[in-house]
Amino acid sequence: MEIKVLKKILETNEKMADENRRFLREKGILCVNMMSSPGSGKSSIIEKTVEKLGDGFKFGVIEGDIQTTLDAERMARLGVETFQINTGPFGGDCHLEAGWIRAALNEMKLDGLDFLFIENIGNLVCPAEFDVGSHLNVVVLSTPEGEDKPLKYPLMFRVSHAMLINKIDLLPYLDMDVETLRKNALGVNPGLKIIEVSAKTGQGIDRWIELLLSERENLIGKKE
Amino acid sequence: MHELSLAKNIVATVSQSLEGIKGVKRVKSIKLKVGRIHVLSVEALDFCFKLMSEGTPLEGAELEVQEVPLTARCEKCGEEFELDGYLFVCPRCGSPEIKVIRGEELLIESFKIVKEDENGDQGLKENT
Repeated sequence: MEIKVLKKILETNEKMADENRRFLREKGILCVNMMSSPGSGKSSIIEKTVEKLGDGFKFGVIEGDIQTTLDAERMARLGVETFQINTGPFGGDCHLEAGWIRAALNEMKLDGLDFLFIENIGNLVCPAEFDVGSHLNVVVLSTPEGEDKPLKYPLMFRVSHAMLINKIDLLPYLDMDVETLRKNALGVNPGLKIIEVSAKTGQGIDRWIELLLSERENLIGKKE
Repeated sequence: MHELSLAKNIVATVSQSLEGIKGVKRVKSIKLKVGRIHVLSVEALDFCFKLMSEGTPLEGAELEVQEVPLTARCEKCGEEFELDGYLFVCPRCGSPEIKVIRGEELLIESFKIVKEDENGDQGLKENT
């Protein structure tokens, strides 16, 4: 006997992600899901962003790591509302899911926050499959990683709204061709917004901040 | 290894569907549709499914995974085409304004069950 189901495998996750998105929108918080390989500079970019915008805006960060609370400690030093998720005890999951984010949201002090960063687990494959309830998906790719990554991990670049090319200050020392990277990324996702940045020197961070501010304005309906 | 999460979700969804059916002995097979955009290891999924289905009526069920090619339609010239790689551009007019119509799905299509009063597999029944 055959029984028709026709359900998305990840339906439960998607429903919860939609609820997270709605909940955060009602609170006026722009939720930004930062995804990348390990070591591409997600934490440094968030730090730089908080440094630049910290006077006028309040930030929260959810840190996803398999082990350690090192990133959370970095964020807490900046006075950011921080929540650490360690997936190690639960099988070492390589990505965050909407349910984990919900649990974090229940614990965090969210009142007055303007931005919530989710620093996903360093991995270009799995996080792309799981909607966490963000309003903006950002993939960070650092210049040493090479220009072929969008073609190797297409789903990651399809689900992202923006790509930050980090460590742009290293270009003189690398064979990396930024134009080819741009072409590959836009080939996979023509709507992708691309910004070249260096968390170290601060290059391009203003353009990134402009994007964050305009996305937040769109989200809360230009109230401010 | 997101296959573990996928396996967990497959077991949960099929188990939920089983609740409404009386006299189920076990699940024989589950049909999945997986778009090519998803980087999925069928071996890993099989392995994880075995772990997650242990002790449930889904234990021993076979996963039938159907890979769906990436197919898109050009919004400009109307051309419908299958993508070879992952460049989302119309091969006829070069426009990037294309809409993916298949190949992004991740679906449980159906499953087959054996009922309590059935004597195992259909094939076995015919032979006895």
